[in-house]
Amino acid sequence: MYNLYKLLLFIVCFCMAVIMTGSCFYAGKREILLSVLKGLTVVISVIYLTSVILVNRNMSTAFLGAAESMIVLGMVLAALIYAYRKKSLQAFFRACFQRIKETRVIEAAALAAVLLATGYLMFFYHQGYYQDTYAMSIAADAYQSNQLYAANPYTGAPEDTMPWKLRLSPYILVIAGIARVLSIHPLILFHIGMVALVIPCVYLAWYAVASEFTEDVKERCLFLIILLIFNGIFVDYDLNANKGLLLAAWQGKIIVANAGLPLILFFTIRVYEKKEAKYWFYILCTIVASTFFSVTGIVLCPLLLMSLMAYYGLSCWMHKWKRKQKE
Amino acid sequence: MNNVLWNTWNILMLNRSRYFFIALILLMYIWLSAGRFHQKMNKAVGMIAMMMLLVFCNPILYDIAEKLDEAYEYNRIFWMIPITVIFSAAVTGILLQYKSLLTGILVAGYVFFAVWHPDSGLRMIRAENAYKVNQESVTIADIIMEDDRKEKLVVVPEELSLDIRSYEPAVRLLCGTRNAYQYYPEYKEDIDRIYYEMNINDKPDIKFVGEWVRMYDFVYVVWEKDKVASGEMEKYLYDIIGDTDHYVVYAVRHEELGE
Repeated sequence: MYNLYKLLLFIVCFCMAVIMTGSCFYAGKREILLSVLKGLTVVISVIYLTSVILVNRNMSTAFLGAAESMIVLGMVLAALIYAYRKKSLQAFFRACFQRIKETRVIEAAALAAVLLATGYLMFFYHQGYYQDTYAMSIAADAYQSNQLYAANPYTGAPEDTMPWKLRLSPYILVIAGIARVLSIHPLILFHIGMVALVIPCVYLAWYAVASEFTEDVKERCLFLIILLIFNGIFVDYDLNANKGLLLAAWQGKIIVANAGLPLILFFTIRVYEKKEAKYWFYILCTIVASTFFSVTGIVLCPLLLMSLMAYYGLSCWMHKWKRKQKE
Repeated sequence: MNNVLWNTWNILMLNRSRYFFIALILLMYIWLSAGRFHQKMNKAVGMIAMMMLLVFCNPILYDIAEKLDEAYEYNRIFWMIPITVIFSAAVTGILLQYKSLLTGILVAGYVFFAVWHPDSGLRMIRAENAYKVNQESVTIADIIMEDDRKEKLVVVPEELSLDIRSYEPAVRLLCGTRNAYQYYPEYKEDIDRIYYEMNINDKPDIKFVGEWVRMYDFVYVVWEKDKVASGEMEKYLYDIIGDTDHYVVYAVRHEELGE
């Protein structure tokens, strides 16, 4: 029960940081979800940039956890003051309450489905995927020894050279640090806490993408519910990370594939369709945030971005070519 | 170029690639469909197709990865293909275009049949504890940690090695996942033999395991209950310190450790 309070504290603090930071970017009634997504990418980017410095300076696990916790709490406070002075905080929450009042049945059903799936996976099921050992053992080692990397994760044999992937993507170590600060086993934080955060974020991101293509709320929600069902049916991991979402939501690669991809898609659409250059900043934040979770993010996200740019370049060229043909 | 084609073919054909091919067919369907939802999603589908072309099947990228000795990592990017999203977009469009219960049932039935795999669901296991690891691993780790011997050097069957260190990192193992990681890489042959005796051999050579473990300062051996007859490990100076439903935990006697 005591662990549950700590877990709740972890989840609530992170959500607060995201919402408060998001409220600083609030720009209108129809932009609530967008503000939250902006807040999400900015918060994770800040966590990434600070944690990379701390990890590469070989700080202790407790120091890393305490520093990151302070940074997140500091961001909540700073965002609170900034948004309050700008009066965007009041407007943001007023818009949120208004939106909740206007919620339709299908939206409530989609939300309930996502929350039910999250709760079910948080408390009742786990996956038996062997690669989990690597990350979990590193986290448990860091948590118990208060050293960021001291032993081979598979055997426990002493090792002093931290893998470069871990130095570049310190997600596992940051969670171990926070676990140390909260004095809760990192396995609980990963297998329950991260599930509670990742799954709603993923569906929020895909909902945002769907909202760029269709104005109809019913269509978006139906798409979301069907996506949830498919992710539930695909319970196998190989080849496709989408399939692993409901089984290993805490794994870095899964987070990059399921949350990084739709966010890049979403912000790129904003840049090209709405001609809003400021979204380049959030694209950059998404790439940085993806790298926090998995080192593949640093390669894949720019590649995805390039392919989306190529798509727009191609469609623009075809448009011009067609116009020329008509003339 | 040949490499990447062969590699892609291998990945797609051998690794349950039917999902990928079904996704390709559905992409084409969305592209050509006259449904309102599909037409709206055309743009997203075009983007995903472009991503597939430029990122997932790119010979230049594969060559770079191969030169960096990361060809295996290249295979991993196939995980990024948003197959479930393509499936969902297609099915949503179909359901919105043909609004009848029969369509819904037919589509759901077809899709379920198309994606169902005999292994589906096997990896989804009911959680036995808050840590979400195998309860027997937790019990065994607790037995070892409560024991008064100082060194927690343990030899366990493969299936336990997956969870035991995640739960209790103070426990050190002779070999990790699939025997790929070994505590003493310099004694590879002997460790391979122990791995064989512990995991593969139905009638293991208890004497070899017992003596080797003692000789190289490992202290605990966890055996499956049906592999070791009662009193057999005791012959090689071990004591039983605890057991679970399927495993028995042995430890080298105190006198032998000089504690």
